[in-house]
Amino acid sequence: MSEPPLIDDRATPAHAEVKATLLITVVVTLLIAFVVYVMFARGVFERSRALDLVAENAEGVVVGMPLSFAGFAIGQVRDVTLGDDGKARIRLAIPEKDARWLRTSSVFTLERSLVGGVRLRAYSGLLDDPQLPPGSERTVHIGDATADIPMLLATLRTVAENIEQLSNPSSALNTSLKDLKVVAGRMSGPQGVLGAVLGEPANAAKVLTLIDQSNRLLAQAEQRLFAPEGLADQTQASVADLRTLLASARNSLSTVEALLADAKAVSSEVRVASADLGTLRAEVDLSLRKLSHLIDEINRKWPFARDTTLTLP
Amino acid sequence: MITSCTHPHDRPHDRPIAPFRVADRLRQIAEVMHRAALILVLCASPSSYTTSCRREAARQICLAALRPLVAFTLLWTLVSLVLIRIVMVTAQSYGLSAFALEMVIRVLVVELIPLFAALAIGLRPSADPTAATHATAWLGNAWRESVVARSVAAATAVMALATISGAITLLTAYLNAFGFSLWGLGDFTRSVGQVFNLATTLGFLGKTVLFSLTVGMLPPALAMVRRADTAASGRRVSDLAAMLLLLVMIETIALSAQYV
Repeated sequence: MSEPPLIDDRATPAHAEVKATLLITVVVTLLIAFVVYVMFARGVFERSRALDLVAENAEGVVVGMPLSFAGFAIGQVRDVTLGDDGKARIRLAIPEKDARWLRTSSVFTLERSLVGGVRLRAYSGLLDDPQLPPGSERTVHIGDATADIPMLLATLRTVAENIEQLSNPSSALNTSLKDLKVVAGRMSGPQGVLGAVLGEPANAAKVLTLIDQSNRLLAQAEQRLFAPEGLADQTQASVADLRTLLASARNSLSTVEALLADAKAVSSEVRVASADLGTLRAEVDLSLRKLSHLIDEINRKWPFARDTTLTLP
Repeated sequence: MITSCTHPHDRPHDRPIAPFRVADRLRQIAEVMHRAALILVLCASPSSYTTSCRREAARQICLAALRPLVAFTLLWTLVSLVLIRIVMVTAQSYGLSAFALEMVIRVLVVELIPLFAALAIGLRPSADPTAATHATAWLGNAWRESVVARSVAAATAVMALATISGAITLLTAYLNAFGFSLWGLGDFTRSVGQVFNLATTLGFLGKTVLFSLTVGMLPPALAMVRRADTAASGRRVSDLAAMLLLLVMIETIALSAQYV
Protein backbone atom coordinates (compact mmCIF):
# COMPACT_ATOMS: atom_id res chain seq x y z
CA MET A 1 0.00 0.00 0.00
CA SER A 2 1.37 3.34 -0.99
CA GLU A 3 1.40 6.13 1.56
CA PRO A 4 -0.87 9.01 0.55
CA PRO A 5 0.64 12.46 0.64
CA LEU A 6 -0.18 14.57 3.65
CA ILE A 7 -2.82 17.10 2.93
CA ASP A 8 -1.73 20.52 4.11
CA ASP A 9 -2.04 23.54 1.95
CA ARG A 10 0.03 25.75 4.17
CA ALA A 11 3.65 26.38 3.46
CA THR A 12 6.34 25.26 5.85
CA PRO A 13 7.51 28.17 8.00
CA ALA A 14 11.11 29.19 7.68
CA HIS A 15 13.45 27.78 10.32
CA ALA A 16 10.61 25.76 11.74
CA GLU A 17 12.81 23.51 13.81
CA VAL A 18 14.68 26.45 15.37
CA LYS A 19 11.48 28.25 16.17
CA ALA A 20 9.91 25.13 17.64
CA THR A 21 12.98 24.43 19.72
CA LEU A 22 13.04 28.02 20.91
CA LEU A 23 9.37 27.91 21.81
CA ILE A 24 9.72 24.66 23.73
CA THR A 25 12.78 26.04 25.50
CA VAL A 26 10.91 29.17 26.49
CA VAL A 27 7.94 27.16 27.73
CA VAL A 28 10.08 24.75 29.71
CA THR A 29 12.11 27.62 31.13
CA LEU A 30 8.96 29.45 32.14
CA LEU A 31 7.56 26.32 33.77
CA ILE A 32 10.76 25.69 35.71
CA ALA A 33 10.97 29.35 36.68
CA PHE A 34 7.36 29.26 37.79
CA VAL A 35 7.91 26.22 39.96
CA VAL A 36 11.07 27.72 41.47
CA TYR A 37 9.30 31.03 42.06
CA VAL A 38 6.40 29.31 43.75
CA MET A 39 8.81 27.34 45.91
CA PHE A 40 10.57 30.59 46.79
CA ALA A 41 7.26 32.24 47.54
CA ARG A 42 6.32 29.33 49.77
CA GLY A 43 9.56 29.85 51.68
CA VAL A 44 11.21 26.59 50.68
CA PHE A 45 14.64 28.20 50.24
CA GLU A 46 14.43 30.38 53.31
CA ARG A 47 15.74 29.54 56.75
CA SER A 48 13.04 30.09 59.28
CA ARG A 49 12.28 29.44 62.88
CA ALA A 50 9.10 27.94 64.23
CA LEU A 51 6.61 29.72 66.43
CA ASP A 52 3.53 28.08 67.92
CA LEU A 53 0.49 30.16 68.69
CA VAL A 54 -2.18 28.64 70.88
CA ALA A 55 -5.71 29.88 70.23
CA GLU A 56 -9.11 29.02 71.63
CA ASN A 57 -10.53 29.05 68.15
CA ALA A 58 -8.60 28.95 64.89
CA GLU A 59 -11.58 29.36 62.61
CA GLY A 60 -10.56 31.15 59.43
CA VAL A 61 -6.86 30.49 59.86
CA VAL A 62 -5.49 28.83 56.75
CA VAL A 63 -2.08 27.57 55.82
CA GLY A 64 -0.12 30.26 54.04
CA MET A 65 -1.77 33.27 55.66
CA PRO A 66 0.73 35.87 56.82
CA LEU A 67 1.68 37.06 60.28
CA SER A 68 1.94 40.81 60.01
CA PHE A 69 3.96 43.20 62.11
CA ALA A 70 3.46 46.93 61.61
CA GLY A 71 1.69 46.17 58.36
CA PHE A 72 4.45 43.96 56.97
CA ALA A 73 4.27 40.21 56.67
CA ILE A 74 7.02 38.64 58.75
CA GLY A 75 5.89 35.04 58.73
CA GLN A 76 3.48 32.49 57.37
CA VAL A 77 1.19 29.89 58.83
CA ARG A 78 2.60 26.48 58.08
CA ASP A 79 0.22 24.24 59.95
CA VAL A 80 -2.94 24.35 62.04
CA THR A 81 -3.64 21.46 64.38
CA LEU A 82 -5.92 20.70 67.28
CA GLY A 83 -3.94 20.01 70.43
CA ASP A 84 -4.65 17.49 73.15
CA ASP A 85 -5.90 20.28 75.38
CA GLY A 86 -8.64 21.10 72.87
CA LYS A 87 -6.94 24.29 71.76
CA ALA A 88 -5.84 25.11 68.24
CA ARG A 89 -2.12 25.26 67.65
CA ILE A 90 -1.06 27.51 64.79
CA ARG A 91 2.48 26.78 63.68
CA LEU A 92 4.20 29.69 61.97
CA ALA A 93 7.46 29.89 60.10
CA ILE A 94 9.29 33.13 60.80
CA PRO A 95 12.19 33.87 58.42
CA GLU A 96 15.44 34.46 60.22
CA LYS A 97 15.75 37.98 58.81
CA ASP A 98 12.39 38.94 60.29
CA ALA A 99 12.73 37.09 63.59
CA ARG A 100 14.27 40.18 65.22
CA TRP A 101 10.88 41.85 65.29
CA LEU A 102 9.52 39.28 67.68
CA ARG A 103 10.56 39.70 71.31
CA THR A 104 9.74 37.83 74.48
CA SER A 105 7.24 40.55 75.33
CA SER A 106 5.51 40.44 71.94
CA VAL A 107 1.75 40.09 71.87
CA PHE A 108 -0.06 38.12 69.17
CA THR A 109 -3.63 38.73 68.10
CA LEU A 110 -6.06 36.96 65.82
CA GLU A 111 -8.52 39.50 64.48
CA ARG A 112 -11.75 38.70 62.75
CA SER A 113 -13.62 41.40 60.94
CA LEU A 114 -17.13 41.48 59.58
CA VAL A 115 -15.82 41.49 56.02
CA GLY A 116 -12.77 39.60 54.80
CA GLY A 117 -10.68 36.92 56.40
CA VAL A 118 -8.91 36.72 59.73
CA ARG A 119 -5.59 38.44 60.36
CA LEU A 120 -2.72 37.41 62.54
CA ARG A 121 -0.80 40.34 63.96
CA ALA A 122 2.20 40.69 66.22
CA TYR A 123 2.89 43.68 68.45
CA SER A 124 6.32 44.26 69.98
CA GLY A 125 6.27 47.23 72.28
CA LEU A 126 9.70 46.73 73.81
CA LEU A 127 12.25 46.04 71.10
CA ASP A 128 15.03 45.99 73.71
CA ASP A 129 13.71 42.75 75.17
CA PRO A 130 15.42 39.46 74.21
CA GLN A 131 14.44 37.88 70.93
CA LEU A 132 11.79 35.21 70.87
CA PRO A 133 13.66 31.88 70.92
CA PRO A 134 12.93 29.30 68.19
CA GLY A 135 10.09 26.92 68.93
CA SER A 136 8.43 29.31 71.36
CA GLU A 137 4.82 28.95 72.25
CA ARG A 138 2.59 31.93 72.83
CA THR A 139 -1.09 32.45 73.44
CA VAL A 140 -2.87 34.40 70.78
CA HIS A 141 -5.52 36.91 71.78
CA ILE A 142 -8.67 36.78 69.72
CA GLY A 143 -10.44 39.93 68.66
CA ASP A 144 -13.68 38.97 67.01
CA ALA A 145 -15.84 41.73 65.56
CA THR A 146 -18.56 39.19 64.93
CA ALA A 147 -18.67 38.03 68.54
CA ASP A 148 -21.08 40.80 69.42
CA ILE A 149 -23.50 39.82 66.68
CA PRO A 150 -25.49 37.31 68.80
CA MET A 151 -25.89 39.89 71.55
CA LEU A 152 -26.82 42.47 68.95
CA LEU A 153 -29.39 40.10 67.49
CA ALA A 154 -30.83 39.44 70.95
CA THR A 155 -31.08 43.18 71.53
CA LEU A 156 -32.68 43.68 68.14
CA ARG A 157 -35.17 40.94 68.95
CA THR A 158 -36.06 42.67 72.20
CA VAL A 159 -36.44 45.96 70.33
CA ALA A 160 -38.65 44.25 67.76
CA GLU A 161 -40.81 42.77 70.52
CA ASN A 162 -41.11 46.16 72.14
CA ILE A 163 -42.11 47.69 68.83
CA GLU A 164 -44.64 44.92 68.37
CA GLN A 165 -46.06 45.62 71.81
CA LEU A 166 -46.17 49.31 71.03
CA SER A 167 -47.96 48.71 67.76
CA ASN A 168 -50.50 46.37 69.37
CA PRO A 169 -54.06 47.84 69.11
CA SER A 170 -54.51 47.43 72.87
CA SER A 171 -51.11 48.88 73.73
CA ALA A 172 -50.68 51.90 75.94
CA LEU A 173 -49.29 53.89 73.03
CA ASN A 174 -52.32 53.20 70.89
CA THR A 175 -54.66 54.06 73.77
CA SER A 176 -52.74 57.28 74.34
CA LEU A 177 -52.96 58.09 70.67
CA LYS A 178 -56.69 57.51 70.73
CA ASP A 179 -57.06 59.77 73.74
CA LEU A 180 -54.88 62.32 72.03
CA LYS A 181 -57.12 62.12 69.03
CA VAL A 182 -60.15 62.81 71.23
CA VAL A 183 -58.35 65.73 72.83
CA ALA A 184 -57.36 67.05 69.41
CA GLY A 185 -60.99 66.77 68.32
CA ARG A 186 -62.10 68.76 71.32
CA MET A 187 -59.36 71.31 70.68
CA SER A 188 -60.69 71.83 67.20
CA GLY A 189 -64.22 72.30 68.62
CA PRO A 190 -65.93 75.62 69.51
CA GLN A 191 -64.49 75.64 73.04
CA GLY A 192 -60.90 75.20 71.72
CA VAL A 193 -58.18 74.25 74.13
CA LEU A 194 -60.43 74.98 77.12
CA GLY A 195 -62.89 72.42 75.96
CA ALA A 196 -60.07 69.86 75.64
CA VAL A 197 -58.65 70.67 79.06
CA LEU A 198 -61.87 70.98 81.04
CA GLY A 199 -63.83 68.32 79.25
CA GLU A 200 -67.35 69.76 79.76
CA PRO A 201 -68.60 72.80 77.79
CA ALA A 202 -70.26 74.20 80.95
CA ASN A 203 -66.95 74.32 82.73
CA ALA A 204 -65.41 76.10 79.77
CA ALA A 205 -68.27 78.64 79.86
CA LYS A 206 -67.60 79.20 83.57
CA VAL A 207 -63.96 79.82 82.83
CA LEU A 208 -64.86 82.28 80.11
CA THR A 209 -67.23 84.08 82.43
CA LEU A 210 -64.51 84.16 85.04
CA ILE A 211 -62.16 85.65 82.51
CA ASP A 212 -64.69 88.34 81.62
CA GLN A 213 -65.17 89.18 85.27
CA SER A 214 -61.46 89.30 85.71
CA ASN A 215 -61.19 91.67 82.80
CA ARG A 216 -63.78 93.95 84.28
CA LEU A 217 -62.07 93.82 87.64
CA LEU A 218 -58.79 94.63 86.03
CA ALA A 219 -60.35 97.61 84.24
CA GLN A 220 -61.75 98.91 87.48
CA ALA A 221 -58.50 98.39 89.26
CA GLU A 222 -56.71 100.17 86.51
CA GLN A 223 -59.11 103.03 86.78
CA ARG A 224 -58.56 103.23 90.54
CA LEU A 225 -54.91 102.88 90.30
CA PHE A 226 -53.89 104.98 87.37
CA ALA A 227 -56.61 107.62 87.16
CA PRO A 228 -55.70 111.25 88.06
CA GLU A 229 -55.50 111.51 91.85
CA GLY A 230 -55.70 107.76 91.83
CA LEU A 231 -54.05 105.32 94.14
CA ALA A 232 -50.86 105.39 92.17
CA ASP A 233 -50.58 109.19 92.33
CA GLN A 234 -51.37 109.20 95.98
CA THR A 235 -48.84 106.57 96.62
CA GLN A 236 -46.31 108.54 94.64
CA ALA A 237 -47.07 111.66 96.74
CA SER A 238 -46.83 109.59 99.89
CA VAL A 239 -43.51 108.35 98.78
CA ALA A 240 -42.36 111.97 98.24
CA ASP A 241 -43.57 112.88 101.69
CA LEU A 242 -41.91 109.90 103.11
CA ARG A 243 -38.70 110.96 101.42
CA THR A 244 -39.03 114.39 103.09
CA LEU A 245 -39.75 112.77 106.40
CA LEU A 246 -36.73 110.63 106.02
CA ALA A 247 -34.58 113.70 105.35
CA SER A 248 -35.97 115.34 108.47
CA ALA A 249 -35.38 112.21 110.45
CA ARG A 250 -31.85 112.13 109.11
CA ASN A 251 -31.34 115.73 110.39
CA SER A 252 -32.86 114.85 113.72
CA LEU A 253 -30.62 111.90 114.02
CA SER A 254 -27.63 114.18 113.28
CA THR A 255 -28.74 116.49 116.06
CA VAL A 256 -29.22 113.56 118.41
CA GLU A 257 -25.82 112.36 117.45
CA ALA A 258 -24.33 115.78 118.34
CA LEU A 259 -26.23 115.78 121.63
CA LEU A 260 -24.92 112.36 122.41
CA ALA A 261 -21.43 113.61 121.71
CA ASP A 262 -21.97 116.50 124.10
CA ALA A 263 -23.45 114.16 126.67
CA LYS A 264 -20.46 112.00 126.31
CA ALA A 265 -18.20 114.97 126.92
CA VAL A 266 -20.32 116.02 129.90
CA SER A 267 -20.28 112.57 131.34
CA SER A 268 -16.51 112.53 131.06
CA GLU A 269 -16.32 115.85 132.87
CA VAL A 270 -18.76 114.61 135.49
CA ARG A 271 -16.56 111.59 135.94
CA VAL A 272 -13.60 113.93 136.62
CA ALA A 273 -15.72 116.07 138.92
CA SER A 274 -16.94 113.04 140.81
CA ALA A 275 -13.34 112.09 141.29
CA ASP A 276 -12.63 115.51 142.95
CA LEU A 277 -15.83 115.32 145.00
CA GLY A 278 -14.32 112.93 147.51
CA THR A 279 -11.52 115.34 148.25
CA LEU A 280 -13.99 118.16 148.51
CA ARG A 281 -16.12 116.15 150.88
CA ALA A 282 -13.16 115.35 153.06
CA GLU A 283 -12.29 119.03 153.15
CA VAL A 284 -15.89 119.90 153.93
CA ASP A 285 -15.95 117.28 156.68
CA LEU A 286 -12.77 118.72 158.09
CA SER A 287 -14.15 122.24 157.94
CA LEU A 288 -17.38 121.09 159.60
CA ARG A 289 -15.49 119.33 162.33
CA LYS A 290 -13.42 122.46 162.86
CA LEU A 291 -16.57 124.57 162.90
CA SER A 292 -18.19 122.19 165.39
CA HIS A 293 -15.16 122.33 167.54
CA LEU A 294 -15.21 126.16 167.32
CA ILE A 295 -18.84 126.25 168.33
CA ASP A 296 -18.10 123.99 171.23
CA GLU A 297 -15.34 126.29 172.27
CA ILE A 298 -17.59 129.27 171.99
CA ASN A 299 -20.24 127.56 174.08
CA ARG A 300 -17.77 126.90 176.76
CA LYS A 301 -16.87 130.56 176.85
CA TRP A 302 -18.82 133.35 178.60
CA PRO A 303 -21.81 134.36 178.24
CA PHE A 304 -22.65 131.16 176.57
CA ALA A 305 -21.16 129.01 179.28
CA ARG A 306 -23.56 126.78 181.10
CA ASP A 307 -23.28 124.17 183.53
CA THR A 308 -22.93 120.99 181.86
CA THR A 309 -22.64 119.02 185.04
CA LEU A 310 -25.42 116.71 185.81
CA THR A 311 -26.52 116.43 189.40
CA LEU A 312 -27.94 113.20 190.38
CA PRO A 313 -30.80 113.20 192.87
CA MET B 1 -0.23 -0.30 15.52
CA ILE B 2 -3.69 0.77 14.56
CA THR B 3 -4.75 -1.26 11.62
CA SER B 4 -8.17 -0.18 10.48
CA CYS B 5 -11.39 1.53 11.20
CA THR B 6 -14.02 -1.17 11.38
CA HIS B 7 -16.99 0.57 12.93
CA PRO B 8 -20.46 0.12 11.48
CA HIS B 9 -22.34 2.84 9.73
CA ASP B 10 -24.82 4.70 11.93
CA ARG B 11 -27.01 6.61 9.54
CA PRO B 12 -29.97 8.37 11.15
CA HIS B 13 -32.61 6.24 9.44
CA ASP B 14 -31.19 2.87 10.50
CA ARG B 15 -29.95 3.72 14.00
CA PRO B 16 -30.85 1.15 16.66
CA ILE B 17 -33.48 1.85 19.31
CA ALA B 18 -32.62 3.66 22.50
CA PRO B 19 -30.95 0.87 24.57
CA PHE B 20 -28.79 -0.08 21.66
CA ARG B 21 -27.96 3.56 20.94
CA VAL B 22 -26.73 4.03 24.48
CA ALA B 23 -24.65 0.90 24.26
CA ASP B 24 -23.36 1.95 20.89
CA ARG B 25 -22.49 5.37 22.19
CA LEU B 26 -20.68 3.87 25.16
CA ARG B 27 -18.80 1.57 22.85
CA GLN B 28 -17.82 4.54 20.68
CA ILE B 29 -16.58 6.44 23.73
CA ALA B 30 -14.50 3.47 24.78
CA GLU B 31 -13.15 3.24 21.26
CA VAL B 32 -12.23 6.93 21.22
CA MET B 33 -10.48 6.54 24.57
CA HIS B 34 -8.64 3.53 23.24
CA ARG B 35 -7.52 5.41 20.12
CA ALA B 36 -6.50 8.43 22.17
CA ALA B 37 -4.46 6.17 24.41
CA LEU B 38 -2.79 4.66 21.36
CA ILE B 39 -1.94 8.12 20.05
CA LEU B 40 -0.58 9.05 23.49
CA VAL B 41 1.59 5.98 23.44
CA LEU B 42 2.77 6.86 19.97
CA CYS B 43 3.61 10.40 21.07
CA ALA B 44 5.42 9.12 24.15
CA SER B 45 7.46 6.59 22.21
CA PRO B 46 10.93 7.84 21.28
CA SER B 47 10.84 5.60 18.22
CA SER B 48 8.08 7.72 16.77
CA TYR B 49 10.32 10.74 16.48
CA THR B 50 12.22 10.03 13.32
CA THR B 51 13.94 12.83 11.47
CA SER B 52 10.99 13.46 9.23
CA CYS B 53 8.64 13.24 12.19
CA ARG B 54 10.67 15.79 14.13
CA ARG B 55 10.67 18.06 11.10
CA GLU B 56 6.93 17.65 10.71
CA ALA B 57 6.42 18.21 14.44
CA ALA B 58 8.47 21.40 14.30
CA ARG B 59 6.42 22.58 11.36
CA GLN B 60 3.17 21.76 13.11
CA ILE B 61 4.35 23.46 16.31
CA CYS B 62 5.11 26.59 14.31
CA LEU B 63 1.69 26.44 12.71
CA ALA B 64 -0.25 25.51 15.82
CA ALA B 65 1.57 27.46 18.51
CA LEU B 66 3.58 30.33 17.06
CA ARG B 67 0.95 31.68 14.72
CA PRO B 68 -1.86 32.09 17.29
CA LEU B 69 0.57 32.94 20.08
CA VAL B 70 0.85 36.66 19.38
CA ALA B 71 -2.84 37.19 18.76
CA PHE B 72 -3.90 35.13 21.73
CA THR B 73 -1.38 36.77 24.02
CA LEU B 74 -2.38 40.27 22.97
CA LEU B 75 -6.07 39.51 23.28
CA TRP B 76 -5.67 37.82 26.62
CA THR B 77 -3.48 40.64 27.93
CA LEU B 78 -6.19 43.12 27.02
CA VAL B 79 -8.90 41.02 28.64
CA SER B 80 -6.85 40.37 31.76
CA LEU B 81 -5.97 44.05 32.01
CA VAL B 82 -9.64 44.99 32.04
CA LEU B 83 -10.59 42.21 34.48
CA ILE B 84 -7.70 42.95 36.81
CA ARG B 85 -8.53 46.65 36.84
CA ILE B 86 -12.18 45.95 37.60
CA VAL B 87 -11.32 43.55 40.42
CA MET B 88 -8.70 45.86 41.91
CA VAL B 89 -10.89 48.94 41.89
CA THR B 90 -13.91 47.08 43.21
CA ALA B 91 -11.92 45.42 45.97
CA GLN B 92 -10.34 48.72 46.90
CA SER B 93 -13.70 50.43 47.14
CA TYR B 94 -14.89 47.74 49.53
CA GLY B 95 -11.69 47.79 51.57
CA LEU B 96 -10.67 44.33 50.42
CA SER B 97 -7.61 45.24 48.39
CA ALA B 98 -5.56 42.74 50.38
CA PHE B 99 -7.55 39.95 48.75
CA ALA B 100 -7.77 41.40 45.24
CA LEU B 101 -4.37 40.21 44.10
CA GLU B 102 -5.01 36.72 45.40
CA MET B 103 -8.37 36.64 43.66
CA VAL B 104 -6.88 37.81 40.37
CA ILE B 105 -4.18 35.16 40.45
CA ARG B 106 -6.62 32.46 41.45
CA VAL B 107 -9.26 33.29 38.88
CA LEU B 108 -7.22 34.34 35.88
CA VAL B 109 -3.99 32.38 36.11
CA VAL B 110 -5.16 29.21 37.76
CA GLU B 111 -8.62 28.79 36.33
CA LEU B 112 -9.23 30.75 33.14
CA ILE B 113 -5.95 30.83 31.25
CA PRO B 114 -5.49 27.04 30.82
CA LEU B 115 -9.11 26.63 29.77
CA PHE B 116 -9.02 29.49 27.30
CA ALA B 117 -5.69 28.36 25.88
CA ALA B 118 -7.09 24.87 25.33
CA LEU B 119 -10.23 26.29 23.72
CA ALA B 120 -8.20 28.60 21.48
CA ILE B 121 -6.07 25.74 20.19
CA GLY B 122 -8.72 23.03 20.15
CA LEU B 123 -11.40 25.07 18.42
CA ARG B 124 -9.20 26.86 15.92
CA PRO B 125 -10.42 26.45 12.33
CA SER B 126 -7.14 25.04 11.04
CA ALA B 127 -7.12 22.22 13.59
CA ASP B 128 -8.65 19.69 11.26
CA PRO B 129 -7.29 16.26 12.04
CA THR B 130 -9.05 14.69 9.09
CA ALA B 131 -6.17 15.79 6.91
CA ALA B 132 -4.06 13.20 8.62
CA THR B 133 -6.71 10.52 8.79
CA HIS B 134 -8.23 10.88 5.40
CA ALA B 135 -9.49 7.93 3.48
CA THR B 136 -7.19 4.98 3.70
CA ALA B 137 -4.34 6.74 5.44
CA TRP B 138 -4.62 4.68 8.63
CA LEU B 139 -1.50 2.77 7.93
CA GLY B 140 2.04 3.77 7.23
CA ASN B 141 4.71 6.04 8.58
CA ALA B 142 3.34 9.19 7.00
CA TRP B 143 0.08 8.85 8.90
CA ARG B 144 1.87 8.01 12.08
CA GLU B 145 4.25 10.94 11.76
CA SER B 146 1.44 13.28 10.89
CA VAL B 147 -0.72 12.24 13.85
CA VAL B 148 2.20 12.36 16.25
CA ALA B 149 3.31 15.73 14.93
CA ARG B 150 -0.15 17.25 15.05
CA SER B 151 -0.91 15.87 18.52
CA VAL B 152 2.40 16.98 19.95
CA ALA B 153 2.04 20.37 18.28
CA ALA B 154 -1.45 20.91 19.68
CA ALA B 155 -0.42 19.84 23.17
CA THR B 156 2.68 22.03 23.02
CA ALA B 157 0.63 24.94 21.77
CA VAL B 158 -1.74 24.69 24.72
CA MET B 159 1.17 24.54 27.14
CA ALA B 160 2.90 27.46 25.42
CA LEU B 161 -0.17 29.67 25.36
CA ALA B 162 -1.05 28.87 28.97
CA THR B 163 2.48 29.40 30.23
CA ILE B 164 3.26 32.60 28.35
CA SER B 165 -0.18 34.10 28.97
CA GLY B 166 0.06 33.16 32.65
CA ALA B 167 3.42 34.89 32.97
CA ILE B 168 2.10 38.00 31.21
CA THR B 169 -1.01 38.01 33.39
CA LEU B 170 1.11 37.81 36.53
CA LEU B 171 3.17 40.73 35.25
CA THR B 172 0.03 42.69 34.42
CA ALA B 173 -1.41 42.03 37.85
CA TYR B 174 1.77 43.23 39.52
CA LEU B 175 1.89 46.40 37.42
CA ASN B 176 -1.76 47.08 38.18
CA ALA B 177 -1.28 46.60 41.89
CA PHE B 178 2.11 48.20 42.48
CA GLY B 179 3.04 50.12 39.35
CA PHE B 180 6.45 50.28 37.78
CA SER B 181 8.47 49.70 40.94
CA LEU B 182 9.89 46.81 42.86
CA TRP B 183 8.63 47.77 46.28
CA GLY B 184 5.64 45.43 46.07
CA LEU B 185 7.61 42.39 45.03
CA GLY B 186 7.54 40.93 48.54
CA ASP B 187 3.79 41.30 48.91
CA PHE B 188 3.22 39.98 45.41
CA THR B 189 5.46 36.97 46.02
CA ARG B 190 3.65 36.26 49.25
CA SER B 191 0.29 36.42 47.50
CA VAL B 192 1.54 34.05 44.81
CA GLY B 193 2.86 31.72 47.48
CA GLN B 194 -0.41 31.86 49.34
CA VAL B 195 -2.38 30.92 46.23
CA PHE B 196 -0.04 28.28 44.88
CA ASN B 197 0.11 25.81 47.73
CA LEU B 198 1.03 22.27 46.88
CA ALA B 199 -2.49 21.15 46.01
CA THR B 200 -3.21 24.19 43.85
CA THR B 201 0.11 23.98 42.04
CA LEU B 202 -0.29 20.30 41.30
CA GLY B 203 -3.90 20.88 40.27
CA PHE B 204 -2.91 23.75 38.00
CA LEU B 205 -0.11 21.85 36.31
CA GLY B 206 -2.14 18.65 36.09
CA LYS B 207 -5.13 20.45 34.67
CA THR B 208 -2.98 22.19 32.06
CA VAL B 209 -1.40 18.88 31.06
CA LEU B 210 -4.82 17.24 30.80
CA PHE B 211 -6.06 20.11 28.64
CA SER B 212 -3.01 19.71 26.42
CA LEU B 213 -3.56 15.98 26.08
CA THR B 214 -7.24 16.48 25.37
CA VAL B 215 -6.60 19.03 22.64
CA GLY B 216 -3.74 16.97 21.23
CA MET B 217 -5.15 13.45 21.35
CA LEU B 218 -8.93 13.74 21.17
CA PRO B 219 -9.40 15.15 17.62
CA PRO B 220 -7.32 12.47 15.81
CA ALA B 221 -8.89 9.78 17.98
CA LEU B 222 -12.36 10.99 17.07
CA ALA B 223 -11.39 11.19 13.43
CA MET B 224 -10.06 7.66 13.55
CA VAL B 225 -13.26 6.33 15.03
CA ARG B 226 -15.38 8.30 12.61
CA ARG B 227 -16.46 6.71 9.40
CA ALA B 228 -14.32 7.27 6.40
CA ASP B 229 -17.05 8.81 4.29
CA THR B 230 -18.02 11.42 6.87
CA ALA B 231 -14.41 12.18 7.59
CA ALA B 232 -14.07 13.56 4.15
CA SER B 233 -16.61 16.25 4.90
CA GLY B 234 -14.35 17.81 7.45
CA ARG B 235 -14.53 18.27 11.13
CA ARG B 236 -17.91 17.57 12.63
CA VAL B 237 -19.62 19.80 15.15
CA SER B 238 -20.04 16.78 17.42
CA ASP B 239 -16.26 16.48 17.64
CA LEU B 240 -15.98 20.05 18.82
CA ALA B 241 -18.81 19.51 21.25
CA ALA B 242 -17.13 16.38 22.57
CA MET B 243 -13.85 18.20 23.10
CA LEU B 244 -15.59 21.16 24.72
CA LEU B 245 -17.49 18.79 27.01
CA LEU B 246 -14.31 17.02 28.01
CA LEU B 247 -12.51 20.29 28.71
CA VAL B 248 -15.38 21.55 30.84
CA MET B 249 -15.49 18.21 32.68
CA ILE B 250 -11.78 18.46 33.48
CA GLU B 251 -12.23 22.03 34.68
CA THR B 252 -15.23 21.07 36.79
CA ILE B 253 -13.42 18.13 38.35
CA ALA B 254 -10.42 20.34 39.10
CA LEU B 255 -12.63 22.98 40.69
CA SER B 256 -14.48 20.38 42.72
CA ALA B 257 -11.26 18.79 43.91
CA GLN B 258 -9.87 22.12 45.02
CA TYR B 259 -12.80 24.02 46.44
CA VAL B 260 -15.45 21.50 47.41
